[in-house]
Amino acid sequence: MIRPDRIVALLLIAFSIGYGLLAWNYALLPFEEQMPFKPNTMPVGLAIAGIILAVAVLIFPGGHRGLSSDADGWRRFDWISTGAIFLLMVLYALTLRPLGYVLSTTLFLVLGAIVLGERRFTVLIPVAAITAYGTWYLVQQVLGVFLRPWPELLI
Amino acid sequence: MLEGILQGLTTALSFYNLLMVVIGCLIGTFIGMLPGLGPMSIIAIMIPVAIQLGNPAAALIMLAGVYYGAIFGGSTSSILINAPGVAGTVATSFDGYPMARQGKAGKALTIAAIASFCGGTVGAVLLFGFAPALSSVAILFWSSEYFALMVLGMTAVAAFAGRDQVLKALLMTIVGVMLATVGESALHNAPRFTLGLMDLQSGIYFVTLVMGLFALPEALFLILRRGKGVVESDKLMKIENLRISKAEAKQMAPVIGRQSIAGFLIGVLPGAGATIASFLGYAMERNIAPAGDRKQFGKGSIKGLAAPETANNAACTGSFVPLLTLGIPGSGTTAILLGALIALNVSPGPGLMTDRPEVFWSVIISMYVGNLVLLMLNLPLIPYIARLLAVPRNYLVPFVLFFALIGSYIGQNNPTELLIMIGLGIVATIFRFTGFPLPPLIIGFILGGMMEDNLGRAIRRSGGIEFLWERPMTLALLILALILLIAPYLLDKLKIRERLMSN
Repeated sequence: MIRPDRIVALLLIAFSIGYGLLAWNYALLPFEEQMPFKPNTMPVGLAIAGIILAVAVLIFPGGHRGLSSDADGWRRFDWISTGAIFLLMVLYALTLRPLGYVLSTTLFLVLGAIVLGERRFTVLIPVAAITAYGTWYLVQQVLGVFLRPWPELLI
Repeated sequence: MLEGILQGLTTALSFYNLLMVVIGCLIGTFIGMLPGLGPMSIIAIMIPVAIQLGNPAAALIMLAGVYYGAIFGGSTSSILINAPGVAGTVATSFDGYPMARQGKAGKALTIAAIASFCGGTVGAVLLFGFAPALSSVAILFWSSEYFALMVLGMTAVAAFAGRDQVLKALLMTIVGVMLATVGESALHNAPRFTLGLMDLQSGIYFVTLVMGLFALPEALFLILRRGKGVVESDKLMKIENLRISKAEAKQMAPVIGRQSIAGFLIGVLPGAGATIASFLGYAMERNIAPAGDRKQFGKGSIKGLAAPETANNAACTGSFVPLLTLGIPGSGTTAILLGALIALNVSPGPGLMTDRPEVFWSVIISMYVGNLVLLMLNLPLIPYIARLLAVPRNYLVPFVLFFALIGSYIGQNNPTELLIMIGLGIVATIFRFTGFPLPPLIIGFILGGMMEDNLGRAIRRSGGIEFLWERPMTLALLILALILLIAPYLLDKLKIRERLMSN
């Protein structure tokens, strides 16, 4: 099976080529074409360096394979909870405005802890609610950054 | 210069800034203690707060306090539960944990605190001398030298990434510079590589990138590895008797003296930070110790604990030299600090000492104050702070994730920023899984914009790339970068040849 770091190197070759194409096709303004240093001069150079280095990693990936070398470890990792937490983070980002900061944060903290196995709701819910309200108070009242606290419908 | 020092002293010793040091040290210790959360994530989480403070001196003073606190917190978890929160304190656990198992946890913590204090203090004194000297040399630098210096900084970080990882580290640096070119640049006002997205018009927000690359994967790894290395409250060592004897102090003294200077010098080198300093310090002390003492290393040796602790704190201070004088970060952590400074409209570099003496000197002075705070405030509080180690992960992880997410959100007030951050988090997790180091990426990102500006200016000035070989200092810096990259390979080859010859 192909080593995971080689797959990443392949993806980075694709990324560098894509970046290079965008840089090469960058629409220069007429006066920019005469300049010794154009807006795409360094990006084109970077794309070339990126492709060369990514090909080099593909050919000589080295001995250090990160955690991917621990084949058994992969299976013992808790992928389901991690995936669920990722989904929760996306949901949090999407509900932050419609539900308001306090409600969406409380939900994120409570659901996050439930996913990780917490079942003492009498402790969990108050802790989450106090944290959500407390941080809102700190951010808006002390730091002066506006955060909509309650759902859009209520305001 | 004396006027600047006085100005810095007044700024650093104002009540507000002293409070910032104390808050920074406490927060750093609290979070740094949590296994898996390094100083980079903690500083990243604190950056939005620091930016909101509005005052660059106060912000940097607080962040430097967080940095020190995180290293101290990392030592605490290394000693008490053998789970270093920070790579720089791994060597601390070699002798710190055995000492704690012998019932000397309090003593081990005191030794660590005193060694850190001395290392940090000597480092701060050396910084006092080094920084102005380097600043006066750096004033002679033109944009071409700055470009070369940035290339040197980036290659040094890649070269120190580990022999097997140099290519990967270089590639990550290039990816970082590529990400820095997204959006408008200082030289060119038209946006580039935004793919038509308005949210990318002003580039990738630095806090989002740092959170996505460091805080998010570290918290996710805590979930992934659940059941592995989880701390139960009953495993936590009891902390009693923080006092050390005169004989023990005598044993520590020469180690502290040597390692403060060695650690500081290693910290000044770009790329070699607290981690390398602590391992080298440990190895050096073990090698020069008398045979009887050497046997104690790894079994709870006082010298073995004092050496890495002194060296890592001195190196932390040393790493501020290139940051403050040249504006070049020598490590991932100082790169994040540089990003915070730029966000606060302060450009570190040779001009900082003359243009903003209150920032320059107050940061240096507050480092000393920070070390004092750690010794006088955190050490007595440590038995209480350590209880945080017993907080269940079920609570801890969602809270850490929440702070990372909200840190990025309050900077831009835009939920799309959170989605970008989650995407970056996934990519960073894959990179970590496959052994691609992330600090070079952040250094590339932070230095990328400045590198393009300096390169552009140098090319416009000389009408081409002749400056690369026509200016001796530029050429020397670039050659040094090349040597740093190829030296480990050449040394390897020489060793293999020697081995073959002797066989």
